[in-house]
Amino acid sequence: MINNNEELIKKALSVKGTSLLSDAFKRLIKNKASLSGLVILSIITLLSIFGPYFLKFDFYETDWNSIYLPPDFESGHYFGTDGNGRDLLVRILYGGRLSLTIGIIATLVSVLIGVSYGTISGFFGGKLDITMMRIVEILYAMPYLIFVIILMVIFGRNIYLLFLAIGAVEWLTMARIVRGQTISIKEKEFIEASRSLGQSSLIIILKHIIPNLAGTIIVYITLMVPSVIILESFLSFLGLGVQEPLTSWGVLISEGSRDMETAWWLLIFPGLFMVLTLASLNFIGDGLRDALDPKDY
Amino acid sequence: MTIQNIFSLAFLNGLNDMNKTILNVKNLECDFLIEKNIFKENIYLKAINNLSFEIRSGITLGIVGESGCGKSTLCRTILSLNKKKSGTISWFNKDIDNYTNKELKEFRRKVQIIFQNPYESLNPRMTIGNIISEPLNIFQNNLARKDKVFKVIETMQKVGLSEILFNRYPHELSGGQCQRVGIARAIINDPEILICDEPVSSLDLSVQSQILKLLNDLKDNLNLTMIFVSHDLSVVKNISDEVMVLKEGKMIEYGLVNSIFNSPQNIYTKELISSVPSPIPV
Amino acid sequence: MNNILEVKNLNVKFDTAQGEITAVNNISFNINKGKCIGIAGESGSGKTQTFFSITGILSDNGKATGEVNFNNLNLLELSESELSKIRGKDIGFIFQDPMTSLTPHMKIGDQLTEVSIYHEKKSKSESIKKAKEVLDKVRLPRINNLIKKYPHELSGGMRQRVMIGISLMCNPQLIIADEPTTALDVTTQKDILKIFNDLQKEEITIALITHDIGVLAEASDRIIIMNEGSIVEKGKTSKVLVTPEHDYTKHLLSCVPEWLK
Repeated sequence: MINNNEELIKKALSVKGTSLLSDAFKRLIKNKASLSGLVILSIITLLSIFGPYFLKFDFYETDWNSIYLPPDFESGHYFGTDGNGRDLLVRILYGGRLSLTIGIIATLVSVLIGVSYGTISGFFGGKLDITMMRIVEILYAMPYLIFVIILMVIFGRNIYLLFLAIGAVEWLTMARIVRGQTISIKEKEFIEASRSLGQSSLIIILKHIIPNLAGTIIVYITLMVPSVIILESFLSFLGLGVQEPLTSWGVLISEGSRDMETAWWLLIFPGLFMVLTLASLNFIGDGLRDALDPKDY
Repeated sequence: MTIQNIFSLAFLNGLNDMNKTILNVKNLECDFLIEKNIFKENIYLKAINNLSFEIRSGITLGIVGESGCGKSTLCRTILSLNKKKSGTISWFNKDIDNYTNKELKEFRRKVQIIFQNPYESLNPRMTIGNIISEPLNIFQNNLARKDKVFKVIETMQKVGLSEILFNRYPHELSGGQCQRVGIARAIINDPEILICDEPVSSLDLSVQSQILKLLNDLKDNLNLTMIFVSHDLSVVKNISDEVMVLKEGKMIEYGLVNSIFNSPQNIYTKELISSVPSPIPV
Repeated sequence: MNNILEVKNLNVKFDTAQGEITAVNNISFNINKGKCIGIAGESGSGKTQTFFSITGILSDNGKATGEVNFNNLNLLELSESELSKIRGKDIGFIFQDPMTSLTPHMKIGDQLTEVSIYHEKKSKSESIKKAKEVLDKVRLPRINNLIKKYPHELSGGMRQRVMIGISLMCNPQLIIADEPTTALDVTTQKDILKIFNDLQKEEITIALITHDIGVLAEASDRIIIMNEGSIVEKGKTSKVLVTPEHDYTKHLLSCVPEWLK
């Protein structure tokens, strides 16, 4: 008798279904634009992480004999040098590490805050929802830049502050989107079914609402990362970003634009890396949006 | 009233002493807000209008009516999934407004509901196994995982689902299979009352008859009291003992299934019955 | 008996991620002029795809082969522009869900007149006159008021009648109705079927696709039963439903809940 049950359980658990996510991944790969986006992004990421080890220059290494050198294969400065004689390529790769890290971490922070805030506001509705959304709207209206400048002035130019400043703004958008989606998912019959079973609100949010938001959240992540990178670049461009000798694409573009007439490579190459990354993320985001569209089921 | 009906009612009244009243609804009113105004009064729609009825254990009550009559609202209100405006809903001789949290939880175990749309009532991101075991996680969480899995498989077999569907997702199943999943989820904790809100309206004809047969069998095997809501009179006729006809939130007629269908008293009921096209061509 | 539509060896195939799927498998049937033919079948039987392919509204990954003869033309061989001249004019199509088949942001009057302005190049005032006639034919009340309303202001039954009205605007010879009463109440359904009956008296042919055996018994003269892309039985409604020959028909009829004795 026990044997029979064991057999039955084994048989039941042996057949795996295809979840919507794995189905979506297969479709994502088929989309040529998204696939190329994925490939390019992976290459840039790998280069940023491992590239510097293969180059003979360090990102902070100055060489007063080689300032403003154009791209030159023989000297080893493949992308040229800047005003301090530092190799541009290695600085771009280091910059990539920073820009990508900020992009990912700041986005994750905003997702965490935004999803919690949005699901609670949307699910419970009523006065709580109204209050929470008014707060979001007020925060939206605040002049962001002044807020960041004040933070920077008080706490100095700190990289963690940069994360905080960016994450603190991006969560607002995520919260609104998540709240809207939560409100529409909340009306679905399977949520009503869970309530009729006596399920607690917390579990309904965690197990029923958030997994069904996954599609939207993933798509917005891929679209938020470029936005964060641009924001960081903008702050760096204004001189509020990372401190020397650390660098990011934003800093490089800022410096490059000053010398753009005499040393075009200082602007073009960092710009190229940034554009490729942002375009890739956007393609992946679009592809994901198509792949996860439940209407095709 | 025919002689047959008088005898049937007397018989049932006699049974009354044996069959206790499970649900007692008095003067129930439910409103929907359809227009919110700042300077004048809000406009409400009366979804349920002064409704009173009771259900005894073991009986299957069929509720029929056209769209907008309030039958779905009624299902959700008596389960406390919707707010009511006024009136009392008493389950097991106690007003549900006075239930403690513990009693409410037990109530949820005893009274279950099956929904109309088989795909919409299942979470598309959960496997069938997880969907059916959700009630176990709420009420019998101390069971070992293996025992939970076994109970789910056992229930799946009771409703005619193959155990290999355990790890599949709703979109991989047919409408009929999804509805069976909904039924399995509802019966896994041995409820006493089952509310069926248009359970077969979205299904094909041959699947409809299978699901109806399943519900009939479960009703007998598990001793369930049922409330069966449908706009399809022929379906209601075949499963109910008593029938209530609703129109625009009001009860038009109430009686034994045979007397309602063979000798309807109210004009609306007569119109409803005569509008159903007979499957036998003239 | 005069045939308005002759279908010969119709095949409909779809290209999907899972390979080629045959939705309609080599079916042939005729529709007599002025009669109502019922097409019965469950989901997946191919009944809707048959008529989608006849009117050329198959989705992009579908392909129809065979012959569909209407007024001496093989509809399957016509180009999209030639087909669109017939669709809506000589052949009217009523879709299943009245909630979603009407354009939500257009007034009822505009949706009605759009058809005759496009097909018959009538003037706006002539079209409005026809629209009012047509709405009267489908027994809608307060027509002058109705023309100015939007779809969401109407009930399901009224919307379905407007759909029927739209299909009548250009005096069609054939109306294809795909589950026209499934989403409606029983009493509204009765009215719609009466309207179909009236239309037949005006020599308009009706093809009624539904899975509701009761509706077919009441409204159709002849019936076709489809299962998994093929026609399993066809003939006079009174004969097929009372003395079915094919096993599937018998099975389908046995699933119908017992009605009044």
